[in-house]
Amino acid sequence: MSKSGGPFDKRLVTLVPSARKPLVLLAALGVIQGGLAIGVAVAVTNLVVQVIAQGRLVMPIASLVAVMAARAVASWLAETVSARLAALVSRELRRSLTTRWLSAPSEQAIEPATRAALASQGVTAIEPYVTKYLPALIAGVVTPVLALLALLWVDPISVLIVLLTLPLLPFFAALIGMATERETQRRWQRLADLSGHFSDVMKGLPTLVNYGRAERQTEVIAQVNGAHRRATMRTLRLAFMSSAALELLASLSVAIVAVTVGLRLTYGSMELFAGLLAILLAPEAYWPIRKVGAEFHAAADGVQALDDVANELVSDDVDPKAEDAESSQSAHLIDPGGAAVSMQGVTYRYPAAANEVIGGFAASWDRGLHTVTGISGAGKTTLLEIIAGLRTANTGVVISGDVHFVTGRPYLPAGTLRNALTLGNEASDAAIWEALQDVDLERWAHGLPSELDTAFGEDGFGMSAGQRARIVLARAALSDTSVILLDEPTAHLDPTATAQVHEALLRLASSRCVIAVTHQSALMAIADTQRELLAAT
Amino acid sequence: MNRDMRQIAIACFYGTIASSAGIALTATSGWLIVRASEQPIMLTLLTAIVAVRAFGMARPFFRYLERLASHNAALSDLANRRTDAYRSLIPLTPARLGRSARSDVLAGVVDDLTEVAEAPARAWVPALSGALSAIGAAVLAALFLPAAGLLMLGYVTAVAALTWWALRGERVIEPACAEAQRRVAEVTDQAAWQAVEVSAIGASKALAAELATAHTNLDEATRRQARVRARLVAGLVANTAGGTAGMAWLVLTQGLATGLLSAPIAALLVLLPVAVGEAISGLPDTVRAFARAEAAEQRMSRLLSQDPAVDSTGEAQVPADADAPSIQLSDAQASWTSASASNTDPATPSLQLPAFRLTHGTHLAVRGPNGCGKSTLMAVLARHLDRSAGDHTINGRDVGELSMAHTRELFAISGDEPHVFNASLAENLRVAAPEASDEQMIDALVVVGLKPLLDTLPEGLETRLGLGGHTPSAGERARLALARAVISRRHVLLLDEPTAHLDRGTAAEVMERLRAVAQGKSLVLVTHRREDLEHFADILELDAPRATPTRRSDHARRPIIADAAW
Repeated sequence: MSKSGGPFDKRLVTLVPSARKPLVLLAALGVIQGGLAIGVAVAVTNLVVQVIAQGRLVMPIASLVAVMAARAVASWLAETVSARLAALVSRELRRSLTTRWLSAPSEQAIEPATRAALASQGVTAIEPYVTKYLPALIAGVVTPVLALLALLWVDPISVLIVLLTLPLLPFFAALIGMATERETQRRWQRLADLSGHFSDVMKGLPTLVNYGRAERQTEVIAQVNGAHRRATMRTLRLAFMSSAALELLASLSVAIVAVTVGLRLTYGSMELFAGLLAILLAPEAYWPIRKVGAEFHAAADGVQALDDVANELVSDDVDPKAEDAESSQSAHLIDPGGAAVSMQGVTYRYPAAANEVIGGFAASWDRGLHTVTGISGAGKTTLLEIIAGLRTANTGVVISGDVHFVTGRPYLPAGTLRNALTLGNEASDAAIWEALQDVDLERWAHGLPSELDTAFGEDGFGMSAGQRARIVLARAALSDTSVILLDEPTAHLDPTATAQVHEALLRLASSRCVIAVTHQSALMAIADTQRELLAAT
Repeated sequence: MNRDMRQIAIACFYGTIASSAGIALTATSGWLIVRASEQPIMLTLLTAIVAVRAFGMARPFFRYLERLASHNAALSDLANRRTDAYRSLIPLTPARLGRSARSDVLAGVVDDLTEVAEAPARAWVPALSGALSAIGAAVLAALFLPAAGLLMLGYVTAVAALTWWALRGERVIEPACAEAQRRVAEVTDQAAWQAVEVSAIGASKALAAELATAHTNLDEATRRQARVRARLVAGLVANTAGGTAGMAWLVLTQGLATGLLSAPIAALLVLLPVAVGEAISGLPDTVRAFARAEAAEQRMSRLLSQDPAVDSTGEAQVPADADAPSIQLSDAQASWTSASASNTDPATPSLQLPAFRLTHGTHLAVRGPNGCGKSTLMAVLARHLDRSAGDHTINGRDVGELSMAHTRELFAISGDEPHVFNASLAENLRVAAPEASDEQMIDALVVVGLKPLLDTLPEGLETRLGLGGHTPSAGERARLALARAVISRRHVLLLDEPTAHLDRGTAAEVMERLRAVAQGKSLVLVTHRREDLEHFADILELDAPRATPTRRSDHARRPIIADAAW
């Protein structure tokens, strides 16, 4: 929050350039609404004066209805625009975040749980900042200025009083804020602990039930919830008291305006119209400022989240450059359609590690089936990730065709069989059936209740391990890449399934460069080349 | 509960005074200004001046009291609801929380509880106090001029109609909105957790397209929601315009022209609709809060109204030779869906469980394709789920006759979604064994291969895990759950792919130590690893599922009702 500088965080526009237009529109609507609030005060005053004078009401009523109608339309537009803006901002931020995660090399990856929280709750928290705080901010600046200008027109003395008392509001707000800030800071950790406790116990309920400890927690929950209520109420009492104090201050300021207006009316030194308008306008100068304060607290989480998102999206772009300074010797060239991989002098060191995991690696593979072996920790998976461009080597040159990489736990979201097979490609049904035939799953697929439209759970729930292994091979075949990498394709398979996968691999290798990391001697035996990766020392 | 109702009534009382003070402030100010312009003796104005001051001060003061009372009521209601929901969830856990993502379901309950408990403070109190003060304004108007009272009544009725219309709209859209939000969260989660796997197969674009589609649906839902809200906001403004115009005409023709009303009172009445309009300007937020609380309450009652998955009426002690429990299953079937919930999904298949026999001290490996019923078997053995047909005995006694708590104490089950509490490492282990000594805990950590981690932790066993401490990785979490099973000293260990997150070398070491620890106990191990099987004399091979896979994708977050089992 503190890093954002002024009241409006400009990074919002930097991160979501398309938000500029609706933001400007919203600001314009804020100005119009401020003007209309003044207009309503004028029209109401005019109407009251005309009623009392028992004059003709047609014009005053018509003007009041016109101003109010304009206000209704402006409110309607503002609601619509701010909802759209919120949707736009969250959509674009999520898009940028996921795009970044899906393209950034693994070295820069932050903890997945942090990512998930950032993209869901984090982005959602930015919405109130956009839909509530920003409009309040605009109204808070525009409406008091317009109200003062209108007041200047009818009663300059009241302007003087407002100008003298208005600064008291931010002043007192700051005083109260400073006092409560210390108090809140002191309690924050305890409050976070208390409110996190229930959620923690709930998520752990299966574990507690498992070990017969669930009932015993009931009392603890009641106790902690009681403590949470008391601690929250202490904090809320302060917050409510400070907003009541500010409202009281505004009330008293308006009262000063009203008293001077009343006195001048009684002595006949003022017109009714001017007097009435002055007391209707005076509150308009005060309340928007209080509203900004109230909404700011509501939007504080959003500001924090905006900060986090901005850090993830912007500042990380700087890091690779810093890394580049020492790792600029590496190059990764793509040779589209080339069914070959060659590596020269490739070294790799994990970001936080002291030693290289891969040192001076060189290899050259072309069409056919190739295996890579090595002990645990030798960097086999890392090697595949470097070829796939998911990691960037520190030194060396990698030249490869387009790569499809079947990871150790392949991506299989819940969905239909067709969906699983066409991820990353746009294969026709005919091509899908052909690929299924090549992995010997055609008969199985025909036997499914809805054939290609049969739905499976996440990670292929509902398929056997062997079927899953062949489905991801069929998907690899459907991709039009010339290089296919596999991480332990037969690790958890029984002999029958292993044989079926071997057959499918050989078929793939007839036209493409297939490189498999494996421990299985049976797979090595059928490969065209074998390579052992030694741990770098 | 009763105390909370009283608190809410008190909050409504304060809220009504605060809203009325606001209305009165505007109205009496108008009276005062007009009266002053008639240049009376100052003394006659004093009462009104005092009244205006009093109203101006009463509004913030009573608003403060209202907010305190309503939030206090909401928080104590939340505390009660939390305890109640927790208590009702115990018998439903784990089987009725769905097959996967149980902690997501439970996290959803936490959010829903907050939403429901906040309803009084955010919806009921503002709505009721707004309505009462508006009616009060109508009564006041009627005292001066009956026709004006009628007009205000019409004004209030129109507000009620607008509110009802908006509430109806919000109610329809809220579930669609929640569903669209859930889908967006699901896709972003995939991008967050499986970024490497997705880009490895070149599916980044496909996932981006999924996210775009999900967001388009969310945009559509929020746009509809915004439309409803915008209509209400605009409607309220228009209503105030109409009310004011009508009042002005009425006051002039029926009041001033006939001499029934004085000029200051006329001003007061004309200002009344504007003042009431200001007092109820928070209605759109109130309506939204109503709709959200209702949707949350419905979700919760769907979850909590399920029948428990286990019969806890049995009271018999587990037979004396329980140290050597011998377990038998024959012709047993089980279903993950509650009988009361399956009305909506009559096609819920029951899964046929294999004939199963485990004598004391036996080590048994279970293997078979995904979805063949391995986890169901484990859940039935641990009495997390009762069989729906067939026989299930322990030492010859039907499990239904045995005390559920005692039976469960025989088994330690380590499953797929281990939870690490936001507490010290030691406390996390003591969940399974409250009396465990430091040595026992360290021994258990050695068995599961977490000793190296323990050595790096700044405060050893007392290091806090999670928020504000060491955040364990997925592999560490799984092994911590395994350490709990080890330290629990229960007689039967049910381990579901305990080494799935580990690399080969470590997995083999952990398995070897686990088998050593389980000497003299029974061990049932679900595994995909061929090398694990070499050490097991008894292997149970399960066939592929006979029931056909049904749609699962639609129920990922709340797989309570329609999540089929096979």
